[in-house]
Parts: sequence; structure tokens; C-alpha cells
Amino acid sequence: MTHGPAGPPKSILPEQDAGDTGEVMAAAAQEALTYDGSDDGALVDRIMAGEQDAYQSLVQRYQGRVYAVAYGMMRNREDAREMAQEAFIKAYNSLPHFRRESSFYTWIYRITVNLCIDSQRKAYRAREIALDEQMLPSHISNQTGPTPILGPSQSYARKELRGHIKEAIDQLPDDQRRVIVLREVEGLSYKEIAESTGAAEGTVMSRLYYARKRLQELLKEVRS
Amino acid sequence: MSPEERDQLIQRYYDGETIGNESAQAREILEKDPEARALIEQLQSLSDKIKVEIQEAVAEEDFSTYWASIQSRLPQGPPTGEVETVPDEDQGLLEEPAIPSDRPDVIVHNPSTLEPPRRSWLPWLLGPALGAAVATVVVLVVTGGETDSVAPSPVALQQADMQGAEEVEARRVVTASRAMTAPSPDRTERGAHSIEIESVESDGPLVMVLQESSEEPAIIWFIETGDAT
Repeated sequence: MTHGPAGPPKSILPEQDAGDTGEVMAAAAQEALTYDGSDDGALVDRIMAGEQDAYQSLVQRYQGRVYAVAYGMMRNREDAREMAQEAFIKAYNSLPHFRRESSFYTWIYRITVNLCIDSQRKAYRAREIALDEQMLPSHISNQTGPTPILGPSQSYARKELRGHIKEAIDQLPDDQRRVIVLREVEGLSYKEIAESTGAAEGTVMSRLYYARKRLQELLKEVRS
Repeated sequence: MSPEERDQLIQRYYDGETIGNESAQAREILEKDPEARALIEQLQSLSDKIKVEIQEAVAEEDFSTYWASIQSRLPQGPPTGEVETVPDEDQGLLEEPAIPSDRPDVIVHNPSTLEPPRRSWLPWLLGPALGAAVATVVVLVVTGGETDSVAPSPVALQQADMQGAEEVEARRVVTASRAMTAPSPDRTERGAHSIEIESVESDGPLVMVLQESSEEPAIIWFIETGDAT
């Protein structure tokens, strides 16, 4: 549900509408949605009235999508988890400022994007000051988790492909990765991406173009 | 059209971000150019791969502890609104100065943040005006007050010009204030003169405004309204 003209952006990660975007995610989303069928506005009202448990429904409803945005931008699970949880905490504390001109999700994904941008900036500053090579993204490429249950050859091929894609995305500059994640993961328009990142629409288009071009080149290199 | 321009157009078409006749243009290119068609397929393939990568990362995440972790860090009771900063619902945190497409025609900085005047041009204006007044007196003395058929004096002309200019500029102020309050200014519909203010200098009611892309300063008379100018 939405409040005001701007509804939640179309995302690859299903909310109430699971769509056809992958069985794994559909199942995960279904699990998240079974908690409470109340609409966002009603939940916000209950939270504002002091019913903190109502926030659990909002968290469970959007945690997958918020995490997806955070992961797309931060590129490692720990940071993404921290950003996603931080976003929910910040959103809770800021609820009195939520004017409901946009949907709750639109609002919280912007909080998430901002937190990720801030975190990346801080990381860069720390890196510049300390020149600490330990902080280079070596930890990113070492991130592996349990893989979905697939046949051995299928699982291997998929894992390998995913590894290549991950490496390619990791190599993008932050500003390019940001726009491609918001476009491909969140399905945002150029205008919405511009509003979320503070860049001009033309810049968004240009970054998206070069990000895609770079990704294609990187993936082509892998294939060859 | 260069290959890069073509590819950018095809990208906009793929993203549903074409404007005007770009869609027709893109379709025409796609019909004729196999490279453009291949690009569409590549964009789709790339999009699918990115989605899969993110989706699987999300699927691997254990969300079962999220709420407990978040709840443990929430304050007791209802939210109070005491936070550092949160993005406006209409605009995200600015990574760099955004240039919204619907920005107002006139950009005026918060008066409280304007720098104090660095130089005044009022004395510079008063010099010639005083000279013209003296010249007028001399002319009147020489002609003995034969005013019936005498052409308007320089002072009178100047005053008339200034009066006219004042009316024009007053209208501009009104236009400017409308532009600042208009929710969605449309240059073509309103047809008003658009100015972008670089800096404002003032010693009083006369204000010199330097416009962007203009060598000539504009003059705006601000009218005192009580609480603000």
C-alpha cells in the first residue's frame, strides 16, 4: 500500500506481489509476509501509539528488499546486514518525521542508500588516512555462503557464474554500482535514482551506461 | 549518430526513459541495425545476471535474527523523532549538488545566508545624477524658465526612465516571487523572464542582482512587507 502519489518502486524482490522473479526469493518473501497483513500506514499508527511490536511486521515485510539494496551497494554480507539493521533503527527513531508523502518502503530504502553512501565515504576516508591495505576489499571476494540446493553440475555452474558477476560488480566504482543496483534491483527510474543519490538525471544515465559497458567487458573477459 | 550515442539511445529505450520522438528513432534503429538488437539482448542478459546475483545473496541471508537484533537497539516506548539526520521524503541525501529538472526559474539563497555587501554602487550612481541636476539648473537659468516648448530635462528623462524601470522591475519581482512559490514552474507557459541570481548586494531598498550569463546587472526594488523584505 502507499501513502501519497509515490508508490513503492518496482523491485526484483517481491513485497505483497511476488511476481515471477525467482522461486527462491518468492519463498523468502512469502515467509516474510505471513506475519501481519496490516497495511503500512496502520502499522505506523500503531507504532506511534507505543506498540513497538508492530514494527516487527514492517521489518519482516521489507527486510529482504532493504538488505538487497544494502548488499548491492556494500558488496559484502556483514556490511549489508549492518546497514539494513541500522536503516530500520534509524527509520524507527525518525517515524515522527515520516510525512507519508511516499510509501514507507520508499522512505526506508532512501535511508538505506544514504547510510551506505555515508559508510562508503567513511571507509574511503579511513583508507586514505591509514593507507591500511588490510582494509582493501579482499574480504569481499572471500565471502561465500551456503548455496541453494541444486544438482552438482548445476550448482557449480551457477556458483561460478555468480562469482564472476559478483567480481565484476565489485570492480565498478561506487557511483556506478549505486545506479546499477537501484536500477536493476529496485527498478527505479532515472529520476528516482537521481533523487535518491543527489545526482542529475543525465549523470545517472551516463553512469548507468558506463557501468553496463564495463560489466559487459568484464564478463566478456571472463568468458574468453 | 556515433555508436556511443546510438548505444545510449538504445539503453534509454530499453529502460523506458526515452523522450519525444526518441522511441520511434530507437525502433527504427533496431529494425535496421543488428548491433542495436544485440545490445538489447545484452542489456537483458546483464540485468538478469545482476538480479540473480543479488537474489541469491538475499536468499542466503539469515533474517531470523533480524528483529531481535533491531529490537534490542530500539529505545523504549514510541519513537521520539530524535535522530541525527534522515532524508527528506522528496529528496535523498545529496551526494553532490543535484540539478533537478523542475528547478524554479529564479534561485534565491536564504537571505540569512547572504554575505554582507562588499561594495556599494549607490555613490557611483549618485555622481552622474548630481551632475545632471546641476546641468539642468544651469539650463533653466540660461533659458530663463521658458518651459513651454522646452524638451524634457536630462533629470526628468532619467526620472522617467527610472520610474519605468521601477515598474518593470517591480513586475519582475512579482514574477520572481511567483516563480519561487510555484509548485511546478513551466517556462513556456508562464512566459516570464527567467533569471538566475548569482549574488545580491544591497545598501537599502536598492538591490543589485548579478545574473548568470549576463554582463549587465539587473535591479530589483524590494518592498518592505513588515517581517521580511
